[in-house]
Amino acid sequence: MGLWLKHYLGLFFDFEYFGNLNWLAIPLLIYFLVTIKKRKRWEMAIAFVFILSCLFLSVKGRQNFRYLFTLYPFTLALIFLIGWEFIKKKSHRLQIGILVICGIAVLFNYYHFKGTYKPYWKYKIIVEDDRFPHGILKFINNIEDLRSDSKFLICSHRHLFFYHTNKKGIYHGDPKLEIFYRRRNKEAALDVLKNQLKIKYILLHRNFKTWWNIRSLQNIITNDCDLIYQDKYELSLYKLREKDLDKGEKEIVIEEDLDKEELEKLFVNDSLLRNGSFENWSKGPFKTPDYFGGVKKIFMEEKEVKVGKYSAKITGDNFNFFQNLPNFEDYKGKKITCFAWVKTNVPHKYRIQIYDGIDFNFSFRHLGKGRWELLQVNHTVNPHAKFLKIRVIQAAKTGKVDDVVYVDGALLLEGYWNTFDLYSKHIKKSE
Amino acid sequence: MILFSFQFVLTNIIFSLIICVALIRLNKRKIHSNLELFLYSLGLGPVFTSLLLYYILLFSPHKSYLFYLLFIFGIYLFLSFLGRKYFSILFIDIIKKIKNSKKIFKNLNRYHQIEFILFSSLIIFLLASFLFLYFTNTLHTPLDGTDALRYGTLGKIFFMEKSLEYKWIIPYPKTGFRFGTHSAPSFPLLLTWEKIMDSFLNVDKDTYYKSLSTYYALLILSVLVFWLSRKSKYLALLGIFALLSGFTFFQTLITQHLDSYRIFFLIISWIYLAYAVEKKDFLSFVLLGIFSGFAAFSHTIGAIIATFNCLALFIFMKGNLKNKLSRTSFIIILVIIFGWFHYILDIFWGSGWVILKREITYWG
Repeated sequence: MGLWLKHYLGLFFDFEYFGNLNWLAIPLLIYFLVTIKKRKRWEMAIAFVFILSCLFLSVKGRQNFRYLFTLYPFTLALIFLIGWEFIKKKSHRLQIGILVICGIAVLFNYYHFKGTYKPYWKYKIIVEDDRFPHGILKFINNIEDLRSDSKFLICSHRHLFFYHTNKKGIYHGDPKLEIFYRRRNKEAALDVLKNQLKIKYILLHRNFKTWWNIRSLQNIITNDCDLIYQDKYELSLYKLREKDLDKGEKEIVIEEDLDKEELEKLFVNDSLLRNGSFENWSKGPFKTPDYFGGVKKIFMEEKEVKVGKYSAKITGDNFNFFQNLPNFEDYKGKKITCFAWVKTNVPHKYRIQIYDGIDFNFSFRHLGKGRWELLQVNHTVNPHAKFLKIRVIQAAKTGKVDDVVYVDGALLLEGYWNTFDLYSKHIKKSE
Repeated sequence: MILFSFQFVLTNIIFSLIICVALIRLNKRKIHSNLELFLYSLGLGPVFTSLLLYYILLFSPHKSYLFYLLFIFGIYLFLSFLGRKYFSILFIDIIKKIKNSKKIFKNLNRYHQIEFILFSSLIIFLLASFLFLYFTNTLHTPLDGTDALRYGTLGKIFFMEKSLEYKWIIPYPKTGFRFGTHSAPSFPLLLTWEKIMDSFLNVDKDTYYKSLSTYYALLILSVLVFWLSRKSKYLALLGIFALLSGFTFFQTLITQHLDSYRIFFLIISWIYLAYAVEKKDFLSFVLLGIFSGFAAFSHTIGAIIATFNCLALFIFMKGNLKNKLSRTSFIIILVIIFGWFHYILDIFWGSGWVILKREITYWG
């Protein structure tokens, strides 16, 4: 039914996009067909092209409301013109009555769908909400360390990149990238990216979904890239780190090299989060650990542990496991980074998030392959932040309340970080 | 804003006016109202400029920008010459219409005069408020939205290369831009036109290109008001609000998109289909062919519906088979010249349009 009303017959019944008077075209069309013998030839010609166009656009263009939009103004004009023929001989009062009813229906449509109009009104008419990513596009245009064949990998709105920048790019859906996607091994994939495709930067949108399934790209962004620009409009720019392996520089695989002891030292010295390794459970093993809140079914876990002696095991659906930073005012306008080790078998359900009451940022989602993954989110705290909520687990609503996730080793650091920096800093300290 | 105003007035008003007077020359039997013709012609300036650019870039690429500019101006100069006597006729018609309206207003009783003033004030207030917000805010927002950006990128490529070859060669080797479209490049060429004019002043803007969606949406609204106000002014007012109560139209009015551009030509082609079947005059046939051709030139959907128009004309026109065939063939030739030519080219030598879907590609 929905398919018919929203797609095949969308022109007449999709009130949000085409108003609530267009359905009147159907009875008028039936009336026209019933009285076709009395009709003039030009009326039949118009009806013929209109019906043919309706059929063509409903079948071929039903998935795109913009195609159906082709007929909208003409349909509405026909309704009014034919409708007027009906009422023109009626009394003046009846004419006014019908026009008033139509007017009320039109006003009701505005009221009912005001939520659809509002963002556009704010963004395009009163320009209260400037969502355009001026900053990052200007930054890209000013990048000068590119060779003539160097490219950007665009995991984002490609047309924005190609129109507003003067750089060379390759879109994530480009057939040329197949050689990259086929590589299962991260090192081989990295080699293709760097040496064959000549990618130097990766422009990533927060909601870019395709890459969830591309483990190697996720690994590369996490381990082999530096975040060099992140805007509040959901775009991040990463630069592929240049390492000269021939000169003996060590290639670091973070998940193996960043071990428990090293991480524990970082908690003591640097982390802004309290009890980030979940060692303190003063309310008991079945209550939330110290300084954290937001979940009911939580357990102190002793077996599945990444850092220290304990981790947190959480069961449930659609929740936020968080810590509020009490001295959040100190970080207004500053850049911060949160890391957390997360383990689960459920794909694409869990991620971490930083929310300051105005702006927010997410990490990538856990792949759900039953292993510990280090999730990371970078965030610039809004100067007018109302609070600073570090959601070390955010579970999406899937309807499955028995899903289990483990979290451990949550870190919050000032500045923009990646796992490579984390490791390098620790090595430096150890030395 | 000065440059934008110049580009807007030149392309949308002056060029349209020149085309209008050339068409009035064909309106010898005065079957059509010159003012109605003028209203529809207001959409012809940009699309005809785009068509001229299409042919010149296709058949004579890689010349200087001055060459293309002079070519366009030369054609309009020639059209002005053809319609030189008819400027005054159109002007007189407009003056007459204004005088007539004044006379009608004076003959109204006091109640209807107040009603007329209130009604006109409401329309003027709404339009003025919208235009104020549009010129102070909306027009200055950067170009965004998938279609406007990708057609815009194509337009920039045509400008830089002074050629249409990258309409077919995918991806564009200098940036890696990959966008295959089945539609004729009429809309992108309007950005090319803007950039050609900009190049002489060494500026790089896209304000004119951004304004097109709103301009054509307002033209669609004007056509609706023109037809509905013949029945009742309140019906016309209701029509405006009803059209805007569909979110798609509101969106087209304030964002940058080619929808209003392509839809305008379709609507007018149907009006002239009705005229052609009913009145069978030469101008109606010519305008049916021109507007159907431009509908095709602006989008693939228009190309398909233009064939429906030809079919409808053949079926519903009165006359013997020979007469029907000759007139329909005349329309088909016009449709090809004013837009369908691109698809013929595409089918036989290009990417195959929607029929064959060939990919012409290399990676630099």
